[in-house]
Amino acid sequence: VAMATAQAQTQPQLRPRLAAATAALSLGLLTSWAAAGRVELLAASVIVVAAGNGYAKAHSP
Amino acid sequence: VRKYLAAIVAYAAPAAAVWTLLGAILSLLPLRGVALIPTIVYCSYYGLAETIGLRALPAPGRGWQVPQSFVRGAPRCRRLLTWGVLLGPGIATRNPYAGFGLLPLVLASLGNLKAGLAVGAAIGTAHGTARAVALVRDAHQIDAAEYLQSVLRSMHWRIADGLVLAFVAGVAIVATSIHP
Repeated sequence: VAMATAQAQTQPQLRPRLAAATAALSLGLLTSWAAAGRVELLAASVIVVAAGNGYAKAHSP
Repeated sequence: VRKYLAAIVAYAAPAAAVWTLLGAILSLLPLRGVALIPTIVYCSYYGLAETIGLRALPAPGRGWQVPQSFVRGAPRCRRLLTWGVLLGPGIATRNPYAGFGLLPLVLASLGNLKAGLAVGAAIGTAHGTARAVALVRDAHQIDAAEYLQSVLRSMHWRIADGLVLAFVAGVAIVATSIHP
């Protein structure tokens, strides 16, 4: 994270992406907290990851 | 419609079978309390690396590609079956996105056979179906311009994969702290 932060400071184009990653992490924390840390949320997330991954892999060069 | 259905069945059925078996094996291992920690580390590292485009360790996986000799000259039905069995589960061939490596980690963290079977089957079905749909929808020869487009699209997918990994890192952090 420190290295990423340093790079973000020297390369301004990375800042929006770092902000997006932080927002995604925070959203995960909040959602899981709201769901009382239920493992079902983790299971649902990986099913979405699997579907996205299968679709994206078919489009990779 | 028949083309879609045949491809979906050829890809999703072997994928569901392989991932259900994997789900059973991994959920039986005594890793329930342990596997969430590597999940958090993995998702944080690759989530950040993929989102901001850092040069990171290559995503775990194999570099193997299906040789043309496997399908050259084969009847359409056998070709579809070969592609489906080898590409549907996604384990045998190269995958440039780190999100795929997260799947066995989460299966190992379930620690419950029923859940392992259900989530494994759902992962396999989701992966195989999505891959078949993408292939059937966009199956055609591509020229140089389209190749560049696909490289660009792949970069966007990598960012999306990183964002989802960051989200899962957050989910796993809270899950570990509430149910250690």
